[in-house]
Amino acid sequence: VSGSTDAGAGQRPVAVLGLMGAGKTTVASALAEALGRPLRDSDPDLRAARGIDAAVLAEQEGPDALHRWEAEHALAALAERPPVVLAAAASCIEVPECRAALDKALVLWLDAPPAVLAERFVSGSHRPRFGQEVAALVAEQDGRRRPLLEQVADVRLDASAAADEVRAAALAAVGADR
Amino acid sequence: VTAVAVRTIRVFGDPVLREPAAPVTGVDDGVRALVRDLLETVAAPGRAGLAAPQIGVGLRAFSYNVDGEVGYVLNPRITALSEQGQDGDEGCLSVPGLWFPTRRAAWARCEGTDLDGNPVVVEGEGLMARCLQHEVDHLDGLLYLSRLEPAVRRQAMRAVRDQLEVGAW
Repeated sequence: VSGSTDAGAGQRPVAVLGLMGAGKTTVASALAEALGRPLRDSDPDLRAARGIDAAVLAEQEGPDALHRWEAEHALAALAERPPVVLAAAASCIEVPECRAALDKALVLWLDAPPAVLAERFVSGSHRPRFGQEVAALVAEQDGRRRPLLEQVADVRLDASAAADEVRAAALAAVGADR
Repeated sequence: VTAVAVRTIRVFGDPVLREPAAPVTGVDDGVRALVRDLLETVAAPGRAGLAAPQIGVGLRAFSYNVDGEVGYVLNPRITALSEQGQDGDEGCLSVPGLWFPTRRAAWARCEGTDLDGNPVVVEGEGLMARCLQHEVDHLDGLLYLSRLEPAVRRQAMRAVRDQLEVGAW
């Protein structure tokens, strides 16, 4: 256990980042509960704010509008006081303003090999029939986002581990295990 | 001069897919080129139908390629549908990589015109019926996702979300 003063979340917002399927929502929920902080999670918050699913927003206004919503949601969440726990949409890392705001947060990066994420993606029951290309897409996304995630992450967690282990490691990283 | 246009398939989220298409009011080189492109683009294996908005043109025209039968219709209207339905998976070039069970009429008749203004009637059951209903829906700004049963639509929109998230489209 680190005794240094910058260990744990302190008064900083906590942001959980990673590619799709890394387990951001699960980990962020556990952290919010443990820290007694509000959880900010893009898709549920979109439903609460506008009554529509992310896919419907993309259908009606285009994928760019969805990504704008996600970035604005992350920026607003990171600016909230008292600080919150944010499950950041995967696209946020590609937005410079979001990276700047993440500088002031405790950033947990749920990192897993692209092949592991692609496998989760394909095996989900609501994800029919598009196996092979997914692995390539995730690998391409990983290549683009990994250097950016390395820049902003304070803690990198192995998200290919069992869910309980990931959760425990995340709680330790924010100082909520003590 | 008609430039050889590369007609990319417009994908979910593109506004042209949500707007009702305008009637074809006169046949000029542009409309002839559109028909040529619709026929060429629908000829690829695995394609059953293609509506003009899917290649970015907001005009009422579509092409089909069903069981070796290839053709096009301008200003198509569905003029008859069987009461009997059919179930089966439906997909869309503009919602790539996904298929969902979609109920349609088992048989459909579609009427419109060709480039010379002659009446055209296309009718059929099975895949042809599904294609005619699907393509005319496109011209009204509707994707098949709007035709899904509520539970299937929720599942479909989650899959769409995943596709967007992984950057597939």
